[in-house]
Amino acid sequence: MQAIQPHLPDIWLFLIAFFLLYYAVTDGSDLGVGIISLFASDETERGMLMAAIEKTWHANQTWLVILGGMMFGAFPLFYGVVLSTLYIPIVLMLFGFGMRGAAFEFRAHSESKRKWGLVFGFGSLFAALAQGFALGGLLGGLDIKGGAFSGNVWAWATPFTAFVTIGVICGYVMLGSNYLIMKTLGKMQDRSYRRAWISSCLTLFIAVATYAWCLEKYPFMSEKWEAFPDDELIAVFPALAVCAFLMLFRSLRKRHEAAPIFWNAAIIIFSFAGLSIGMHPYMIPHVISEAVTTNAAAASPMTLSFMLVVALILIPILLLYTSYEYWVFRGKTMKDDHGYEE
Amino acid sequence: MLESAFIGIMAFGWKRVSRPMHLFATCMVAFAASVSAFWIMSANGWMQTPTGGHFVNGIFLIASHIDSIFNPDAGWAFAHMWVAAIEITVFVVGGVSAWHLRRGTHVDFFLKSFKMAVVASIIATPLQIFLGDGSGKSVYEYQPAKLAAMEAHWETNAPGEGAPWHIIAWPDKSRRENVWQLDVPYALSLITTSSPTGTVRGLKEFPPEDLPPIWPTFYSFRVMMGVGFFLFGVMLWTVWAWKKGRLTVDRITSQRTLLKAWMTAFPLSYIAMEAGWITREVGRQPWIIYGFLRTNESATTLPATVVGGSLIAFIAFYAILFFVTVLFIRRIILAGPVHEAPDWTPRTR
Repeated sequence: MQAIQPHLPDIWLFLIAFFLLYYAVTDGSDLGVGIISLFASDETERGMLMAAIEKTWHANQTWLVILGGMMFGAFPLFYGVVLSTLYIPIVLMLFGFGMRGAAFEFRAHSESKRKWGLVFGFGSLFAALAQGFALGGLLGGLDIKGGAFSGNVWAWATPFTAFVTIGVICGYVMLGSNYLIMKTLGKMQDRSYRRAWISSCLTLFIAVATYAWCLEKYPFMSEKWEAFPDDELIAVFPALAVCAFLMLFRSLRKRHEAAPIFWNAAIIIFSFAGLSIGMHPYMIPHVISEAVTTNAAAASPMTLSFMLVVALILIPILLLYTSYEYWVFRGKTMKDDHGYEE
Repeated sequence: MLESAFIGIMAFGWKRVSRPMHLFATCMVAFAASVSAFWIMSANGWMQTPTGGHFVNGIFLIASHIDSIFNPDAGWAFAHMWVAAIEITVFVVGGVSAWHLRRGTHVDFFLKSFKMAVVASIIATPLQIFLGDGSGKSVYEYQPAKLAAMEAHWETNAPGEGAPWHIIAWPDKSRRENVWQLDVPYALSLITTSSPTGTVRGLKEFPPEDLPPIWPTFYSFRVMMGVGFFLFGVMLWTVWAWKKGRLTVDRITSQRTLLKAWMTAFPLSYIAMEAGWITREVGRQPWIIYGFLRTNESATTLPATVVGGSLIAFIAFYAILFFVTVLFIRRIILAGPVHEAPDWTPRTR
């Protein structure tokens, strides 16, 4: 424990990043499917879309609770500041989740399927919008003075945030489409291929623009690029992300079924890693006052090491049974797939 | 987390996994829900009896995570809440069964589930009274001001005298006494200290700014306790009826009052739990971390309009959700069982 003590905040940052990405890929697909369901041509199609994520959305969403717990334990200052500053997006997200969860249960028992189908779609859309607002706020720099919340609850609401939010929506629709390519057949799959093309082109454009904007705004990020090619770390992940995009386009053209979602996940991981390395060691990039750095925002080493021991035991178990769950529900979604004999 | 993954397999996996695996998934859901309950109650218990470290300049420095997790209140709180959850389930199953039995629909099926509920209630209802008593003694030891408020007990009883237990009372905080009260002599000393003349500290011993609101604490505690004993009584009555041979397919439907009692117990069991939480949380006031941090000191720096707005939105959202949930649950109950007999063997068609 002594040897790793100085690295504990970074280890925790890595763990949190890992689960944030895990969440973004898995529940991002679910939210994307939810947004797509708003454009469903009829209730049968909407039912199919919901059935495609019915079995796993709940488990995927729960990663956010784990993330919240990890953040609260490991970076209490960051947690406190971010949850206060992003209060409005976070509350909006909770309502979105509430609508989505309730709609799943109620639609199954309701006679007016359409009403609850729309609640499901709009719930997913609200949650995705809220996550876009939060990401835009974090990247754009929040109004934090002396490491404390400044009192401005609308600091995240900027044109830049609006742009990032559109990117998040496109990214989730891309994930949802690629997920549906894997889970469906026939006409629905054809439509998913088309949507995947459009949304991934849009996402690529917005991602590149966002990265360029961050470079322009944050000198500590552009400095890292100035050190290139002596220090090539900064370039590795953006390059990998571009490759993953190319591989995604290739797999879509060849009409592969499982490859698109795989490359999509790679895109998310590489883009996020590229952006994080650019930002490191800042957790919240900051222009108004001093930045909140990883080390300054971390909890005491004792808490971090205690949490690490617990996490190292539990995380493999978590991943094991989650994988088992995915394995159980693998394969195409069928119309009459209700699980129980009837 | 464990729960959310396995509940998917439990609800949708019947055709996809083997039967032992499905049973395992169901057990894991129950186990994971219990683990969640433990952590929630441990955290809440710590807010009642903070241990495992000390406060330095308003920051809590942890000395021992184990002492914090297993704080004095955690064990009682977890046990009491865990059994409360079981007890509610028992009376929901029993109440729904009783409703169908009264109407004479699916009698075979619901007599079976009714008897299962009765058997479970034989264990759950007395156990809960025992755990409630233990929790009360823990409050007496660690949160004397809360206990005094729960009992509207103003004056510390003199040595050699017993503190009475008020069945009902009209506490008046400004006059620092009860306007009137209905007493059982010695009972409060007996309940809390197991001695008829044990000393129970009264509300007057504490500074007024350290006292919780008396009315909600006093009456919510009585509601919870009253329902707890009512459920215990319903159990005794039903066991007696069973012994008399009244719980048979032919005779059960004519046990109108008994079945009505079970139907009443369905909502009452929820009310008891809510009332218990009001006692626990209102009784903890004015503290958020008992004895260390006041609730008003821990409030957010967010503008009041934002917090108030979100509170109203949450209330509206949950009110709608509650209303719709009741409608759908009613529909599900009305529809009766999907399978006439609980026969889970795959059918050949």
